[in-house]
Amino acid sequence: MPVPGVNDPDAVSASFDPVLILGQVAPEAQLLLRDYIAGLEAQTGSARAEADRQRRARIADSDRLRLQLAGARSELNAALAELDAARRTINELSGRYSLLRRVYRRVAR
Amino acid sequence: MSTALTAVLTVTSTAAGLASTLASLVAQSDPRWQWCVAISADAPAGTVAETRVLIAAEPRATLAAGPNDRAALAALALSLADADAVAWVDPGDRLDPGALAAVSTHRPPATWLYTDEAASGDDGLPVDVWYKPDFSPERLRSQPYALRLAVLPLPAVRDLGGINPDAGSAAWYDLVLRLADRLDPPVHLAGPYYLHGERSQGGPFVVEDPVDRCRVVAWSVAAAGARVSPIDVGGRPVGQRVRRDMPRHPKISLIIPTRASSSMIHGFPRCHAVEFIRSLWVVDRYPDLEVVVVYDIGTPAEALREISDITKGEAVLVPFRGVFHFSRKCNLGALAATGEYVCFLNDDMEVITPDWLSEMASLLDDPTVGAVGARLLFADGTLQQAGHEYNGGQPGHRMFRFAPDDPDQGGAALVTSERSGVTGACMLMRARDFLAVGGFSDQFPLSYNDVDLSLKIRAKGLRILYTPHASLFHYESQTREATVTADEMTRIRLRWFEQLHADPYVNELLRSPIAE
Repeated sequence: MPVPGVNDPDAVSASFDPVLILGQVAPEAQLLLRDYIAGLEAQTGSARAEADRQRRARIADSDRLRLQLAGARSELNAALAELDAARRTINELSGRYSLLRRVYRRVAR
Repeated sequence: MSTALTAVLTVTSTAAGLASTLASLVAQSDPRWQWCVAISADAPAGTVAETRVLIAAEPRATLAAGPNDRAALAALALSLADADAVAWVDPGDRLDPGALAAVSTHRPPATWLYTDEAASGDDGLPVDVWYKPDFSPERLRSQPYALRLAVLPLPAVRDLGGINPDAGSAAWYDLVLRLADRLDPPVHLAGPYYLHGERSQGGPFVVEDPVDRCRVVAWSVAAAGARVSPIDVGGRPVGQRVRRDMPRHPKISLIIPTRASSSMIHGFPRCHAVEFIRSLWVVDRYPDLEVVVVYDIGTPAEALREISDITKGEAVLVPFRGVFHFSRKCNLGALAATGEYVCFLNDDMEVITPDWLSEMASLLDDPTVGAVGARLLFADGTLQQAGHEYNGGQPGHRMFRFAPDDPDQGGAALVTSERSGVTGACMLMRARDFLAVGGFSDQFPLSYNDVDLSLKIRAKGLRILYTPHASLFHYESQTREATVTADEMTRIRLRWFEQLHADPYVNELLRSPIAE
């Protein structure tokens, strides 16, 4: 008895239903195709998981770099603040020194 | 700092060990806990007074004295709890100082969590660590493996009606079993956060009375109809065996690829396929059985005649042309089979437990189970496999070459439990599932075809079970040379990279990281 769709390319392509088409091919070919589909799905899943893992690793790396950058900025800010303070001290001392020199000169005169 | 308050229940008939337990609670980095202690009426005189003195300076501890019955005492301790979650610690056992903080951080409010457990060594550090798998519901029925430390949401516990008064010493086990059926799968927090006062001698920690244990498990599988019996090894409890009644006996096709080769086993020549079929085609075999023998063209006619004689002509003989290709031979056999279930078997096997197939089929009766594997032993009696395990990108056999009754890995080889895969040397599954996933892949002619098939089944959302109660000898690779081609290794890793690195039934702390 003829099976609808089998050996009838027009009927198969007209259906456009992959599951129907799959159901109409020989059992051995069905196994191959179903395994092929399962393999593709597995590879897609694996690739997606690997991409996800790499994305997480990149985020972790960039978070770590951001932290390092933030730490470096904080150290830089602290150093700049210390520099400013030192400058202020120097300015203050040099002001006092100038005043003392003026007082000294006046006294010396 | 967490906001969850954990009530820790302790039920005892003596004051011994309570000071140690309390000290471990006081040492918690998360101070949000309650300790609810219930002491039985048959405790030695002065126990209650001694305990009151012990907890006098600790406002987070409460004490009640109650009846002798363990379940009633557990209910009494539970009634003292006014918290978000509840846990159980036996007297003398301790928690790691970071336990409650870690639990509060990792447990979603709506579900439960369990941790690994260990004994406390002389220096207080963990020894005999029981590295557990992620949630394995069949294992929970076969062994109280997720009880210590289990942290349960208290509102859900109260919704369930709390402690079952008939559960005896297994009251906490009963509660966890009932909750596991009701809630989302638990979180497994890897690490020995629960420390027993006594050593386990390398086996699992099973402290409940065996009669109580089996009774509460029987309740939990009552719908399936089951008989439950304890499993002991060398006098030490390991878990229990659940025998499910089979309401029906679906037809099973045994598919045996062969070329009927022979080798010396135990000093005698043996034609494997013939002797294997003789060992399984016995009078009290599984009631609805079909044997499909897929034979190479060069197979001796005498062997095929003998197989026909043994099965009284009922064996289906399917010729295979071409070079050896395990997957193609099995697929050819499956297409010729008429059974609702198909069981793939190597030919170099011998039945040890007569009810092996009924045991496997009874597990497959559960629609959430996709495949079942057996315990296989080498000719020298050592384990050939107790299911697969995948780690570091490498498929392997769990407990390979261990003694058959070795209680190592928490008794993993001795109790029925989930696996990521089982060997194709003995694998039972539904024929429709086998066909739906494309059977054994043509891409794996020799090796890893069973790994691939197992992972395809799991990708459909089905569980795979290993049962030690179906045992067979497997004179592995005595009929062909065991080889793994580089191509097959590359292909299996390409398909299942993630699964080969993250087997949920291998403890997270024992998984090899992915190499960069």
